[in-house]
Amino acid sequence: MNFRDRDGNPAPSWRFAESASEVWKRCSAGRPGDCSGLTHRKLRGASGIRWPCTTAAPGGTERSYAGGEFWSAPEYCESYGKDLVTGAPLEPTEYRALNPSGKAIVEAAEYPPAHERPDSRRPFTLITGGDHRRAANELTITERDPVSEQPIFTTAAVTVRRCVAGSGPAPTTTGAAPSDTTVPPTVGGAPAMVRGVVRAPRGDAR
Amino acid sequence: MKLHIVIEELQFSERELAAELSAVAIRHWAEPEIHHTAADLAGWSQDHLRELDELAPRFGAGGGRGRRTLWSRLPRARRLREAASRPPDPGLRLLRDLRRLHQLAAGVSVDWELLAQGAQAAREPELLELAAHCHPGTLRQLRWTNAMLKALSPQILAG
Repeated sequence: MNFRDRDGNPAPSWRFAESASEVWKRCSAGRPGDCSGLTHRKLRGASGIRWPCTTAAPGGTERSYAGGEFWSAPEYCESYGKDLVTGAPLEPTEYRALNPSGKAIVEAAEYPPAHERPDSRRPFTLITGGDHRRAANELTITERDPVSEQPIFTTAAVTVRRCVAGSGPAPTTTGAAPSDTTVPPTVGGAPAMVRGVVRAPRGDAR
Repeated sequence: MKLHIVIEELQFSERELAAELSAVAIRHWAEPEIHHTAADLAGWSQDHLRELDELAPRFGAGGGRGRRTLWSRLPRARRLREAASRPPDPGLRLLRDLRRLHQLAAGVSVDWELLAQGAQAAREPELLELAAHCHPGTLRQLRWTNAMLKALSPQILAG
């Protein structure tokens, strides 16, 4: 794409993980997920640094909503929320009308069954991130509801068909084959043995 | 009492919206977000229509079939329609469909508002309750079409 910034330098300006994390520190400063106190070295070290991680709290923050104060003020919140059935985002004025500052917002909705349910023709349920238009081969949780922090899923009924027999190593769950095929094969004892054939559950079509 | 005019108008506009939402759901079956949501929202309009049909005879309303009583015509997207069809452009077609849905839903919303005002003045609590129950659904349909237009148009128009 060859994007450039105003000075003619390549945009975005980072090339490696460390410089990207520097940019992210600046981006997040002052926002709910403030990571300005985080360093790349800290990130690579012991796991589990809870954001916000600022110069005032360089080791991370244990509790997000200290004092029962939610980050829902209209000037500060990260999302105005969306209609749980249609997905249409709330307008800023609608959100302000809820007088949300400091409060948690609990939304109620009827239970709509999944649009695509497994049947005899498509016996599996595929779960992907919240965005319908993304490639459907990943199980990574890509979107979270900013209010409840619950992952947002999209499901679809699918069937699986082998197109060609591969010659290389079997792909992993993330679709990435190992870069080096000389890694020793996994060895397990008797408990790791799989017997029989794993089949898709039969639908109720007779 | 002229409430039957608004009731017929509503029956007409809700039926038109339900039909158009179902048609859009079929036309854009390859876009899961449009396909599924439009089909769900068509169900809402059908529910509204069923409840309207129950109350309508008591107010002398005929069912809102046939010709519209209030003369109205949607502003047509003549340029958009031409551009979307020759050669076929799926993006522009989707914009045109959503634009039309938005106009139809706005019409339904106005009709619910009229019915609510009329019912309140004529002291018809059941009609007022029906409007209070159905109108929020129409507003959600309206917000959805607006949100989809907002989300999809930049890429389609600038691409």
